[in-house]
Amino acid sequence: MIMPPRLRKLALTLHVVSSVGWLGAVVVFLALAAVGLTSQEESTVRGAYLVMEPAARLALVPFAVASLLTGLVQGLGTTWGLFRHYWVVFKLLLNVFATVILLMYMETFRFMAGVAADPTAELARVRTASPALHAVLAVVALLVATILAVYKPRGMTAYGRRQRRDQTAMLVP
Amino acid sequence: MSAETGTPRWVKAFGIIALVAVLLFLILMFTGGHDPSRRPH
Repeated sequence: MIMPPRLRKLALTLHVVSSVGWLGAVVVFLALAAVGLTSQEESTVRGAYLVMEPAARLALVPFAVASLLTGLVQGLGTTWGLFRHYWVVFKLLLNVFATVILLMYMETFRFMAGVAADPTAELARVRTASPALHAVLAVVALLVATILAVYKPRGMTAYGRRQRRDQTAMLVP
Repeated sequence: MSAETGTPRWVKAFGIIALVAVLLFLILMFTGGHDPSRRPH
């Protein structure tokens, strides 16, 4: 079902806000991860890993899910579709892949927070490069998704071409 | 090859990159890789 223009603009605004919000939140995580890896203050290092879990639960996950859902609405409610254009398919795959990894990584956030909260755990055990690595990969993935959305490179899938052919055939008497 | 009739080059490149990324992810997932929660204490 194609959305009327007003609803389409609202859906697009929500999708842009949630996607850009997700990217911004990931950049903040990269900063937190850098602080955790480089700070000389023990309380700052422990604090960085402690705050990651609630921040991911309250910011990263809601933004990721909102971006995915509003993206689905955009695809289904406009002529772009979900599987007609390669750029939409890749963007959808990137979004699903990044969201699944994030949800799986929540367990690691909880584990790292547990280690950071343990006063007997040495600082070397608290520090880990894992969040920084994941944040860098997430920034790259989200930037690629943004570039795809802005440039919309040409190329229709076989399904899209078949659909277009069928529609053209229906219009020609 | 026209973008309207065949698979564009950028799609092939993206496909290869995506395949490598998924394989890397699966290898890291099954071997434990860098995951701190699977690190020996």
